[in-house]
Amino acid sequence: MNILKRLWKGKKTRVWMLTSAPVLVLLLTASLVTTQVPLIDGTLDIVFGGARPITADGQAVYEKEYETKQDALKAANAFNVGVVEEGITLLKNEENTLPLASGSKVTVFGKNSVNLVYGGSGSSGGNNSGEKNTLYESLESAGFEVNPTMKSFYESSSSGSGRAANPAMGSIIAGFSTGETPISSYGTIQRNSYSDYSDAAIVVISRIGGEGFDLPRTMKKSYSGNEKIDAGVRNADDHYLQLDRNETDMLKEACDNFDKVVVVLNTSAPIELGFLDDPEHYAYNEKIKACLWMGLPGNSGVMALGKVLDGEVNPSGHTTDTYARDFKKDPSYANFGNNNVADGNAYLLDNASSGSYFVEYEEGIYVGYRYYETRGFTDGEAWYDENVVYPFGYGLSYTTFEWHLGETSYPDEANLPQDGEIEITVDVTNTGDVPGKDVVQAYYTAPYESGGIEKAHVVLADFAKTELIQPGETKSVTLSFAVSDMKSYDYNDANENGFKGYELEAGDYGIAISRNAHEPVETLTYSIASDIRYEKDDATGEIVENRFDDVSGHISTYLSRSDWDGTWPTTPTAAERAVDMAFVNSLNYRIDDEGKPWATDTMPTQSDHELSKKEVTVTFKELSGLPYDDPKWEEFMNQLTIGQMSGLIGTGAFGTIPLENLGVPMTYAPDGPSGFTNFMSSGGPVFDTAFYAAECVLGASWNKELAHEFGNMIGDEALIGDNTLAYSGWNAPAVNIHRSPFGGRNWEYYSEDGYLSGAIGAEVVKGCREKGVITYVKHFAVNEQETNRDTNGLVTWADEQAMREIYLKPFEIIVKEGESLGIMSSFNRIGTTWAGGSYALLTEILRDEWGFRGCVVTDYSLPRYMNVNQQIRAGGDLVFNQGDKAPGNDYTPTQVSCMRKAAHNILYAIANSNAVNADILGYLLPIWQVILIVVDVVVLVGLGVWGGLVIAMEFRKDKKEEPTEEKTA
Amino acid sequence: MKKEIRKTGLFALIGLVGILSSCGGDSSVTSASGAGPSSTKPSSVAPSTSEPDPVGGGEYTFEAEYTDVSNLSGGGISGAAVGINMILQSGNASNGWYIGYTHKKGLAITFEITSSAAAKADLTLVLGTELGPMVMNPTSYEITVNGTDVNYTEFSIRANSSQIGTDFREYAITPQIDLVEGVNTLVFTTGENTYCNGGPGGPLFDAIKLDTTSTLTWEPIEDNIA
Repeated sequence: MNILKRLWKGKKTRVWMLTSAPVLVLLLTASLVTTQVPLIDGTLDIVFGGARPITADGQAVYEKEYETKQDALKAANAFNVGVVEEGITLLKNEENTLPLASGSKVTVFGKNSVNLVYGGSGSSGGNNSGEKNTLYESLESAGFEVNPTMKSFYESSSSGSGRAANPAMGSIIAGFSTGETPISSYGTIQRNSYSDYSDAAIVVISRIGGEGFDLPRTMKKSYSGNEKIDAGVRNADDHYLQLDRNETDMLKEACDNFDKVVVVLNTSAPIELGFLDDPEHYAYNEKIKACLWMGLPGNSGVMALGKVLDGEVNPSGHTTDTYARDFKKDPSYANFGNNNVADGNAYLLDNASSGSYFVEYEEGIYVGYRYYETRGFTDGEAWYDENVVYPFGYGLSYTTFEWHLGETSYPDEANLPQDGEIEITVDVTNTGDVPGKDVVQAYYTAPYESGGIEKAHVVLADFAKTELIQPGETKSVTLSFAVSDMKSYDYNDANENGFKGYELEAGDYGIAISRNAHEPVETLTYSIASDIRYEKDDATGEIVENRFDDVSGHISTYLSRSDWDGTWPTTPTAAERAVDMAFVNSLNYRIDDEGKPWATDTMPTQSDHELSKKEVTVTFKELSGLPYDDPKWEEFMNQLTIGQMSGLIGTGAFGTIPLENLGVPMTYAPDGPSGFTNFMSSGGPVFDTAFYAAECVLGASWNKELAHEFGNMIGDEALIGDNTLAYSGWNAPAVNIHRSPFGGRNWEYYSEDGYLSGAIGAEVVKGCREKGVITYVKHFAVNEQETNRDTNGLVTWADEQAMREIYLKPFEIIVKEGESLGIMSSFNRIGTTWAGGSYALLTEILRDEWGFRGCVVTDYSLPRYMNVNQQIRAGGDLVFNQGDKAPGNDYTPTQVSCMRKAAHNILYAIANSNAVNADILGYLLPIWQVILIVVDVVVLVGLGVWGGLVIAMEFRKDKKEEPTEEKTA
Repeated sequence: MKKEIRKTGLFALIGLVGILSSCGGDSSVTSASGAGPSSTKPSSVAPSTSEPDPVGGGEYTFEAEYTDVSNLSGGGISGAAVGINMILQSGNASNGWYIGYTHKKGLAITFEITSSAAAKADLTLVLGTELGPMVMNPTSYEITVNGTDVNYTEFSIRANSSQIGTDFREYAITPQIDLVEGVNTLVFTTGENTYCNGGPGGPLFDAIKLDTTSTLTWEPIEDNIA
C-alpha cells in the first residue's frame, strides 16, 4: 500500500492512476462480455465472421449453413417461392386486368386447380417430402376470397375423376386426357355461386411432363389404327398441347359469366396459345384479358401465384421457348417421337421392326426462335404473325421500362478484333408506377450468304436481369460476350474457303439490345474485316475439328433458309427406314483396340493385394485440391488393386463405394434436378429434402444470380445429407434442349436455346461447387426425346454445326465456366455409337477440347448395349448400376490402363467434393477477437509506458531528496 | 520500495494476462472426415450347379431369364426395356441372369411348368430389390397359380446395407400351392404399390424354386441369353 500512497502523492502518477484504473476496468469488462457471453459472442461472429479453421494446404472447407434438415427444408421451400416469383411470366394483360384488387372475390375454374402438376414424374419426381401448398392456399394467403362452391365441386367426384396418374417409363402415349371436367357436369349450384365471387375468373390449365415418355401428338387412344377418342377430346387429330373440348367449354363458361378472365398455365412445356390473340381460334374470347405462365412450381412455389395476382410481386419472367401458333408446322414435327405411327421410328429389317429406333434432326440449326425469327425475316412480318404467338424471351410487367445505351467497349461501326470482348451497358429506367425487374437481352446477326454457312437471323449472345428498380429510378446492367462467341461451325466447308471448323466470316455484325428475340430496342453494327478461323479451342488451345462426319453426313438434306419449302424436313418412309443385317450388327459393340488412341502395351502398376494402412504411402485426403496430373495421384493410383478399380467403376448408382484401406469414403449422389429426390418409397439416404420448381421455371427467371443462389441452396441441403453423410453428388442440372414442345422431359430442361441453358446451368453448378457438390450434368448429349431413348440406344442423327452451336453448347459453357466435376452421358447413340461409349464425345471434345477433368457417369446402365468396356475406352468412368456391372476381366494392358483412367477420374471428382471435407488442424481466432486483442495490447502497453515514465520520474524526485535526509540524521 | 515495485509489476502482469486470456477463443483440433460405412460384398445365392433336376420329387429351380418375355414391356427406375432387353446380367444371380425392369403395374412374369401329378408344392422366390425394402403382399405383388390368386402371407424383401440391388435372397411363400397334373401356369405380377418414383415397383426376379413330390419339367427358352 505504501507504493500506492506514494504514487497517489505525485501529481503525474495520480493522473496516470485515475486514468488507467477505469480504462483497465472498461477494457476487462468489454473483453469479458464480448467473448464470454454467448449471445454477444455469437452475434459478433455472425456479423464479423467466426473462428477460422486451419486446414491442410489446398483442401476446401465446407461448412453447414443449417444445422438440421428441417431448418434447411424450411429455407429451401421459402427460396423456392422466390424462384417461382421470378419465373412466373406475364404473357397477356389487357386493360391492366392484373394485378387484381386486394381482397377481390374470385372464382377458380379447372379440375386441375385442386390437383396441380407440381413437377414432372420419373427419377426427378420421385418420392419427395413435405406438404404441397395448394393454389387455393396461395390465393387466400394473398387476401383473395375464393369461391368455395366451385372448389368443393372440383374436389368431388361430381366433377369427374380428374387427370390420371402419369404414364410409366417407356410408355409411348397417345390420347392422354387432360382430366378436365365436362361442361355438362356444371349445374345450377355451381352457376349460382358465380355472382358472389365475380371480380375475376381464374382458369387453370395444366399439362404433365415426365421422364420416359413424350407428350402425345394425337388424341386417338392408340397409334395402331384405333380411332377412338375420349369424350373430352375435340378432334382425333388434335394433340396434347392444345386446349381440348372440355377446356374450351370451360373457358367459354368463364367468359360468359365473368368480365375478367385470367388464365393460369400450369404447364410443363409451351402449349398453343392462339386462343389469346387470334379471334379465329376455336377457344378465343375477348374476355380473356390476362394470362400468366407458372410452370411446374414444386411443393411450395405456387405460393408465389397469389402474390403476383395481387401485385405484391411484379412478374418478371420471360419465355424460354418460342410459343408457335401451330406446333404441327414446327420443323421438328416431321421427325420426333414415333412419328405418330406405332413403331414409326423403327428401323425395318425385312419389313419388320429391327428392334432399333432412330431420329433425324433434319431441321439442322433451325430450332425454336432460330427458325421462327429467321423465317420471319425472310418471309416477312405477316408470316411471323401467322406463325408465332409469343417470341422467345418475351414477358410483360406491371410497370414499364425505358432503355438507353450506356458505355460500350467498341463504338458503333467499329471493326472488331479476333480476340475482342464486347461489353454493352444499358441504363434501365422504371417509367411506371410500381417497382419491377427487367430482362435485357443481346442478340447478334451474323452476315449470311445464300448457299453458305447456315445462320439464324438472330442468336442470343448474353442477357442480364436488373435488380428491383423503384419507379423513376435507373439501374444499369452490362452485357458481355466475346467476339468469338458469334462464330459459326462450318462442318462441311459450306462457304468453300477450304476450311472446316469454327469461323467468323467477314462482314457486318448487327447487335440488337432487345426485349425479346423479336423486339430490338437499340442496335449497333460492327464489322469483321476478314474471315477469322478458330482452329483451336479458346480455353485449352487444343485443336478443334470435325468429330462426327459420319453422323453429319447421314442426312442428305438439312433445312436451309435459302429454300425453306424445298428443304423442309420429311418423315422417313418405310423404304428410308429399311436397313440390312450389317447395319443391325454394327450396333453391337465389339472390343477393337488395334491402333486406337487408348491402346497400350504397358501394364500399369497396380497393387496385387489390398494394402494395409501401414503399407499405404499416399492417403486419399492428401489429394484434395491437387491438380489432376500431380505426381501424388500417380502414386496413389498405384495403390489400388485391379479388383478395387473394377468395383469402384461398376457400382455407381446414386453414389460410389468406399475403398476403406485407402481412406476413400463412400458417397451419395441422388437424383435431381428438382432438388434431391428419392426413387424409393421408404428408406435410403434421401428424405426431408425440398422439391423445387421445374428447371424451366428457373430458366424463365433469366436471372443468373438467382441460379447461383439456387446452387448454394442445393449445396446447403447436400451438406446435411442424411444427417450422417453429405450428398456429394447430384444428378443435375439437365441441359438438353427443347427441340420439340412435345419432349416429355422439357420441364426438366431450361430452354430451346443453348446459351441460355448453359448460362443458367453454369451458375447453378458454381453454386453447388461452393458447397462441394459434384454436379453430374446431363444428359450428354443430343438426347431430346424420351421415346425409345434406351431401346438399344436411340440412333440419333444430326449435323455437327447444330450439335456444337446448340446441343453441346450448354455443356461446353458449364464445363468451362461452371467447372463441373461431373457429367452424365446419355442413353441414346450419336449416329450409331452409344454416347456413353463415344470417344469423340467423351475424350476428344469433352476432355481434350474443353478441358473437362472429372467423372463421367452413365445413365442408368442396365441395357446390354451400354457396354462397360466400350465406356472406359471412350472416356466414360462410372457405371450407374446398383449391382455389379463391372468392366470385363480380360486384364490386358489396355483394359487395365482404361480402368485406371476411369478410376482416377472418379476419385478426382470425389477428392474435390464435400466427401473430403478438410481436416481441421486447429482454429484461428475470429478477426474481431484479434482486433480486440490488438486494442487491448496497445492500450495496456501505452498505459504501461506512460505509467513507467511517470513512476520513474517520481522515484528520481525521491532520490534527489534522500541524501539531504541522511545528512540531517 | 523495490519489493513494492515487484509486487505491482506482478499484479500488472497478472492483470494483463487476465485481459488477454479473456479474448482468447477455443483452440481445438478436429478432424472432419467423411468416412462412411464399409462396403460389404453382397451375400449371394450360389449359382445353380449343373446337377440334373430331380425325378420323382425334390426341389426344382426355374430361372426367370428362360421365361417367355417376348411380349413384355417393362419400366425401370430410369429407363425402360422390352422383351429380352429386360433380361440382365449379374454375377450374383443364379445362372448369371435375372429379369429387371419390373416397375410397371401389370408386368407379369410367367412360368409354364408341367407336373407329372397333382401335388402340393413349396414355392420359393429368389428376388432382389433395387428399391430398398419392399413389402410383398397379394395387393402389391400378385401371384396366381392356374388363374387362381394365391393369398400368401405378407413378407418383406430387402437388399444389403450397401443397397446392392442384385443381393438375391430366397423368400418362401406360404401357404403351399396346388399343382395340377399337366401344365401349370404360375404368374408373378407387379401390383398396386408406390415403391418406385411414387408409382408401382417390382422386385428383381432371379428364379423360383418348387419343392414337391411330383416330377416337374418345362421348356426353358435358353435363346433368351444366347
